[in-house]
Amino acid sequence: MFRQAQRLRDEGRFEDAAGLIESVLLHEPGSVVGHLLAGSLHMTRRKTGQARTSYERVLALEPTQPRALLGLARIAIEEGQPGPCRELLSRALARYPDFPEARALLEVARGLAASADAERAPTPSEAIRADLPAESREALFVRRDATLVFATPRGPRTEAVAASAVKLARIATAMLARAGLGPLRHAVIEGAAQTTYLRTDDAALLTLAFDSDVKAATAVTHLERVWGSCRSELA
Amino acid sequence: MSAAVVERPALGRDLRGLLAELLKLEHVTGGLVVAPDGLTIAADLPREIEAEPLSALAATLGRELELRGPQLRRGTFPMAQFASVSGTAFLGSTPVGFIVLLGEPRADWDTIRAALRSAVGAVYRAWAR
Repeated sequence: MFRQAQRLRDEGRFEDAAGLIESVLLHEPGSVVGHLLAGSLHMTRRKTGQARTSYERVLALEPTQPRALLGLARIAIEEGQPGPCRELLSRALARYPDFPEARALLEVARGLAASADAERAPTPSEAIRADLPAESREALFVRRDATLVFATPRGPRTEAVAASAVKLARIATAMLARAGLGPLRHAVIEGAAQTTYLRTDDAALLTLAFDSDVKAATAVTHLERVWGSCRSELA
Repeated sequence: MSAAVVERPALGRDLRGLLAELLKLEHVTGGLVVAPDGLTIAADLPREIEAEPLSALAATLGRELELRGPQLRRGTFPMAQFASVSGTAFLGSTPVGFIVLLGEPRADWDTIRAALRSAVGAVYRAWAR
């Protein structure tokens, strides 16, 4: 039955696969494989809460099950809880030292603070303000320790945005390292209505968001100019 | 490449085939398809690169972008690229997971982004049926 569920999953019939696993688990509630598959399917369908329940059931049955520990660690990092993430991964690695996925994720989790020690964001200096392009919808300049230097416009979620941008840069840097590439320097993130351009080095990070119809070359030119001003000011 | 993917929506179901097509792009050195839980679905990478840890981090990055994005815009991330001085990683989001392509510094970003956008669209159409 689990093979059939796996086949359904591979065919993209996620609801059918989940239904099948659910019915099997009614008869075999102690099946580690069943709960693991359920957790994986929930994650594929982006149902994090249900995935957490499935992985917790696995750990109730097998406390050092590495895939369940990894699954919960991934959920913890998604929810901005690097401490619990590190603990779960350390448990997995204590039992299974040769677990490359857990090791890679632990490297990222170690670099993340539980919450950003962000100061109140000052407004950009006149020099930087003059450099900000009129087309830019949002601008954020932050140190790599998540301390906000400036943000425009500013709002109640600005600190969270700064922490999110730093976290994103850390994960991307780790991924590039695993791909044999150097540390992150530029990123372009396309959204439905806006595209965010990111520039970073070991000390700081700048993001500028533009409407999607702004040409990439124009946006990058703006980004580099503002980056130069920001880095000069930070130095 | 782009036209081929658009005209063959069934290719969107064959993730390995889709990846193989994308790897034909000039200066693309490798790639993988990873499920949102970090499970590698397909991978074709240079020998020195391990698929599992790269998949784990790509899925983490993809989920981070899906959940928050750089400006906390939930669920508005079809594609992103991350560049170092040594090359670029392209990441596309689909219902079944994330497509990752690795490019050399001289890779044509516009060409790769267009092909990846087409591939992501093909997966959406094929898996929505």
